Amino acid sequence: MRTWVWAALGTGAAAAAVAASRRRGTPGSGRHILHQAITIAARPQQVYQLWRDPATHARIRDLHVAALGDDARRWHWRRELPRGGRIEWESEITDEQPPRRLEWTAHNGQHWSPARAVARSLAVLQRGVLTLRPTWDGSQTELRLVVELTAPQDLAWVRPWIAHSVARALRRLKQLAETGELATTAGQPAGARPGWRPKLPHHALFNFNPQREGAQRAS
Amino acid sequence: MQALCWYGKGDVRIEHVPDPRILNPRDAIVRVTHAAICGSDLHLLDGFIPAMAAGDILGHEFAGEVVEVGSEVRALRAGDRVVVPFAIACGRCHYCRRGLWSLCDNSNPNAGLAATLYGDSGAGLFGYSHLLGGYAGGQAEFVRVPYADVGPMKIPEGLATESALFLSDIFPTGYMAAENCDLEPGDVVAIWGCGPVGQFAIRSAFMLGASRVIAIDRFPARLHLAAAGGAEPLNYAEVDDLQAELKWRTAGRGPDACIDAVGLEAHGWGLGALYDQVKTKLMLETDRPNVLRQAIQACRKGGTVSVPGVYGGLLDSMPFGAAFSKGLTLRMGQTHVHRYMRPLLERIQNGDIDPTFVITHRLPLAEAPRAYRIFRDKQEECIKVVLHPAARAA
Repeated sequence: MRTWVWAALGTGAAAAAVAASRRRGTPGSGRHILHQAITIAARPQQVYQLWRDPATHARIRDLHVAALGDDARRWHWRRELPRGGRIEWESEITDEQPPRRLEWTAHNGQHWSPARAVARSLAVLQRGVLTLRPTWDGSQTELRLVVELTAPQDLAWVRPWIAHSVARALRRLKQLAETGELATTAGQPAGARPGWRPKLPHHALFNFNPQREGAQRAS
Repeated sequence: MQALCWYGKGDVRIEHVPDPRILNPRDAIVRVTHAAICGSDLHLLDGFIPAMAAGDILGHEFAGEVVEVGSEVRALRAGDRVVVPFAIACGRCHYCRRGLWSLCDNSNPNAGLAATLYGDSGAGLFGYSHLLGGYAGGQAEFVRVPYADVGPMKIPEGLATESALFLSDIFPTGYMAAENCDLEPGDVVAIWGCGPVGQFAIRSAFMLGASRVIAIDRFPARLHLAAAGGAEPLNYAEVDDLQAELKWRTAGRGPDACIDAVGLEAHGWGLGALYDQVKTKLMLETDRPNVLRQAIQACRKGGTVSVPGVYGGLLDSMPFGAAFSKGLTLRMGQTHVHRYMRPLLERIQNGDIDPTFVITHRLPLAEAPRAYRIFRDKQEECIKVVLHPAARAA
């Protein structure tokens, strides 16, 4: 019982802290600005090249990314949703100063639901700015990311999830840059996991899927 | 394979689970020949550590034989006998490069949750909750070891695996606890808790120059083993006032350094212990830090309190004013095991210490649930259990 309480407290605290620590924009306006920063033990050029590669984003964010056109300034993004359907959007680089700064906008968001034959337009605009700066000795890179989201409706209820998702992606970028791989436990053995079916977005907080791991249990 | 799985407070079971497999290029698979139960495993058994899930495989002290390595592992090959540090470290981040292995930036896949609770995340650990990575532990026939090119240390020919086993945790943990005290000749060290870590802290304190060690516990077998290591036993159940007794034994100064080798499940008597019992029952406090309070109170002015005992959450009524007033140094944290494995291996090979002195029970893995109970309840004068996955149950 105690661990359940702890887990719930931890999860709630995580969402609350993420929401509180990066509150920007105007409440109720549908405009939100997320700030995330991380220090990576690699040179800016290496970090920039990783970020500029669509395959990196596919790995660190668990989605599909493909470059459009020859100059690779436009990318197409697709995320499969857990209960079917998908969302898609496009992004375009608007300013590029390797290896120090990258700016982009995202638009044309669409939600494909399994229940509907046609896509629903997602009226969310995204503008992002990535800046990279070497530390004093040049051995590491200070990465700062600012993402501005604009939508007709208030996005406050999804803010913690988005903030967590961005933070997780940056941690995974750091793992990739520093170690060449992503730390994972997905696919490792475990005993049966009866009754462990959390309603919270557990997969986003813990890097394991109890249902998937439970299915691997020996009969 | 067989593995010891956690199913809730007081409930651990042997289960049949799939064998582990290589998931990343720097992984290795180790066939476990020796796995120990750590005192900190009891915090999991007793439900004090958050973010456990039913079915988690426990165990972070183990040694065995490499059976498979990932494509990027150059330092090991199948057949090597290895002992594996309990903290998982990438070897390449800012912290690993500075020898702060247990603070590795990259090995915890669930770093976001740990960062929210603690401000930042330490390294992932084997078999120690999803907060600290959710890695399957080594109380099993096989275990996957991430970053195997960094962590596992080969056991030299001629040295028994059992002799190297405790380099995975408790010997380095006891040693770092003593090293954190910055001991000088003539120093008196008081150590709360004569379990396995306390026993190694006693011997390490002498290695590092302590002139006297006062070992505090209430179980005669543990105090007897502490005395065998040169310590002066102090059974706190037999004294009216522990603080007064420590003042008496140190001629009014207090110990130069105090080591809390108990952690978040302190027992004992008195108002502090009762306070913690009540508040943890009411879920108004997560840990029972009575020993830490006693150590801060007892330590001499300008001394050091070293904390190898595990704490997990929120501690009430800490005498921080005493710590400030006396100018104490507080040092703590998970052990940077990788830093100590080779130097301590040399001490074992030189004959300075035989780490097997602490073992009281050798049992098959199949008897692990019983082993947990006797270790937790201090039955059969149990101090340290070593499990053998290949052995058959009686």
